[in-house]
Amino acid sequence: MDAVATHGLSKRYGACVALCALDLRVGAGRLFGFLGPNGAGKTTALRILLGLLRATAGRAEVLGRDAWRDGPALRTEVGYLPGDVHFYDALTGRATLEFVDAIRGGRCGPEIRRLTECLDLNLDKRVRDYSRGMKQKLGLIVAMMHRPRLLILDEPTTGLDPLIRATLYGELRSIAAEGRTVFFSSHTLAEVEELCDEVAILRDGRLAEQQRMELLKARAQRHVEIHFDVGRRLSTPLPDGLQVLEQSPGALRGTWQGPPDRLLAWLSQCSVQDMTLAPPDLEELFLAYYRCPKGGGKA
Amino acid sequence: MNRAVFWKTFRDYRLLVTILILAIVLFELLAVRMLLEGVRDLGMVRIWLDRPLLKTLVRLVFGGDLVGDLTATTLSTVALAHPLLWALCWILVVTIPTGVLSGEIGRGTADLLLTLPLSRGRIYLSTSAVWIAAVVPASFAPLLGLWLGQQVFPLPERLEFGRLWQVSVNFCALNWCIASVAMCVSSLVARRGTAVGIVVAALLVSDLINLLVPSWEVVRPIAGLGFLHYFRPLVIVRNGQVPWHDVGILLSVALAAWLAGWWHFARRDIPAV
Repeated sequence: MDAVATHGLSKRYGACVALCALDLRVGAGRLFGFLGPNGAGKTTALRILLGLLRATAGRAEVLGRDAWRDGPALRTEVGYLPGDVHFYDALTGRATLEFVDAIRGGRCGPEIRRLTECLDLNLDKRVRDYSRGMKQKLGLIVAMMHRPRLLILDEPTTGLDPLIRATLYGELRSIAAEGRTVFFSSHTLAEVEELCDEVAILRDGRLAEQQRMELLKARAQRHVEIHFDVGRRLSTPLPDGLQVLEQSPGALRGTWQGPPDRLLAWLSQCSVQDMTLAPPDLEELFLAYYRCPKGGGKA
Repeated sequence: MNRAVFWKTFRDYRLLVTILILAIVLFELLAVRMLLEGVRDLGMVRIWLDRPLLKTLVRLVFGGDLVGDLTATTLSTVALAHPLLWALCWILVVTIPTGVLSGEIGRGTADLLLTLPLSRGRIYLSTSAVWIAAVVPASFAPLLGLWLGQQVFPLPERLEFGRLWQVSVNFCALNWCIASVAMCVSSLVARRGTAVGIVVAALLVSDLINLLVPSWEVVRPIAGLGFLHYFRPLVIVRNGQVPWHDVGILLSVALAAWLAGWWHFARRDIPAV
């Protein structure tokens, strides 16, 4: 069963189309990245999945159930961190968690204690005295305290220091390892690259791409720099996938797209002094999706 | 109903409710002090109240002529239909309903509340329960104030609480009605300020209709649109009966507005802040 499945999901605000016929499938146990430029419709899609917005057309299923109709029952198994997290200012962090725990059935105590320790959060302060990062930590605890089968996070690392960010990555990986699903949107491409095993890219309310990370990486360009023996002419023709940006008699700088073994096979026929092959540059690939009109990212 | 949401909402507003109730009690207590002056010289009060302008004003505020039946009890209805009392109660019946729906959306806390395993109907019911409960002591607080006032400033003639409690029953229905309308408005908008503005405007229009009806024929056909048309303390005290017809209309409007708010809140989009 898919953790999330949308079928022709659309949302209009008057004349403005926020989401257009979105077909998305997210398998259980995935660390799924949801990407797109501002205004692409990511938050709209997330809010429909959570039953905060009603789709104009199409259907959204979460854990096999209708996101709107079965909302309350469904939300026992879903955790959510909004992009801009807000709490009741007058309550302390502890009172906030007790309130949420009471609604969730009062069984989250041990997990709250573990997460609080893990994220190093002082629960005795009032939320109004919390910094942005502390509110984010509280939001993460609220989202994860009931060990949900589906965790929906909108920009989860905003305001977190690098240490806590690393801890969170570990948490998210262990959640996915347990077969639970993490569905998160982010603008930090390095984060997506590091964490996700599958991504969907949204642009102008439409799905531009949904792909496994390893396939995207295979498609992504790598920066390559090769130094040849000076004086030896390059006799073999350049392989497909190698795009030369700069060439001198003894060196070549460019990009490589495709499996590295083909490049290595070609290099073995040349007289190479030194070479550098950078990791796949997903940022360039994502940005191409962000910038280009329909299907541009694939070009 | 969800107890956690009810108690959290109750805790959020308990200070405001307590302060307003104390203010109402204090106001009525001091009103008895004013009443003492009037009751001591009922003849002079009668002469004043017989003036045409005052007679009209009294009729539109209290729903009848005070001068014909001037006793300490009928005179005390002045304190039960005073605009300051209404203002104190209406702060309460506007603040809570607008704070729990449009207020949550505007502050962004609706994202927390509405993504918990609760139906919107339960949230609506649990938060409504707080103002439904708060309106009762606020509506009967004037009686406590009058009773305390009578202990502190003994009147030559005792107030007849057997008649006055019926005014509070009517006042309670009036406050529930306004709170329900506020709840309905709150379910329609995404900003608390907007909701408060709409409800306050509706109350002002209602008061204006009530003000114009006795002196302007043209407005008479729409007299029933004003909330205060269904709250006439002097008539209640004179008749010595709960005005079930007026109470019935107020409660019917309250129920209709409350259900309309529920229906809409259960279906509406919750925008991101």
